[in-house]
Amino acid sequence: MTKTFTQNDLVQYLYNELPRRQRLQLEQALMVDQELAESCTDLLLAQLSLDNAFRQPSDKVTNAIISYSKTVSLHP
Amino acid sequence: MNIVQLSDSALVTSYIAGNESAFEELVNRHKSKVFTTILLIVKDTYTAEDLLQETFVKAIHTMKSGRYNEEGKFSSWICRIAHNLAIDYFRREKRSPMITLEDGSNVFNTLSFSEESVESIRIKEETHARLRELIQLLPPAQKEVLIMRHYADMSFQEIAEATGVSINTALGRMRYALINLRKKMSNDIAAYDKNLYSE
Repeated sequence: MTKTFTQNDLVQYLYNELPRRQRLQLEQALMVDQELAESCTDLLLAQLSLDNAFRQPSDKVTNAIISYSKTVSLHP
Repeated sequence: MNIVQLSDSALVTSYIAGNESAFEELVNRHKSKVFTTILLIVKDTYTAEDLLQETFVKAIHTMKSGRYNEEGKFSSWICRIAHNLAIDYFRREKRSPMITLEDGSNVFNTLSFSEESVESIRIKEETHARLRELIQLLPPAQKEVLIMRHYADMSFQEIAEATGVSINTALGRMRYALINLRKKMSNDIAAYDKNLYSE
């Protein structure tokens, strides 16, 4: 019997949180269910675009953090 | 083994044993994720840099005093510290701070491909800035889950616990956030095309 997948299952799948067995079943379903595949593509494109919002802190701040660590000597 | 090939867990162990290079690698590996998580909440580059330092200072003290609990992922742990600090800051301010996202930034700071033309860098940076604006326009509950999952690397279970909702609600909010974002981006493209062809 073919398992029915929800939109929430797709979100879990995109973030690698679906258990292995369910992930494999979903991948099978994506091959035959056009509507599910389209929903998955839409969510995937939005997810991929989010990576463009990543920003880097300045080198000055990064170096300050690394330098600070060298001055700290705490012991358990 | 080269330090860049080590897992986060191995780096933490090495750092606690006194290897500062391991910490440097951890910082370089996660600074963007932590910084972006904070920035999307406080919306101010300078404040975000202050809170980034505060986040790592807390992490340094926790690890060097032997209080680091090796249960979850390092990235989730550090992002959770960052998220809590950013939320605390936001609540203290009691208002949405002025957006200085682009004013306080150095374009070369965000790009690793300096051989691109100035024009393509500008267009890319404008697009990315627009994306950050669109994220800000999402309903608060959706924006919160999106930041926690995509940038702070928290699992949906962790998000559900942190926000006091069921995992299905957290998943639903993430789904709507992605759908809304995609719609807003499509509308942007449609508006751009309309302007372009009406000239």
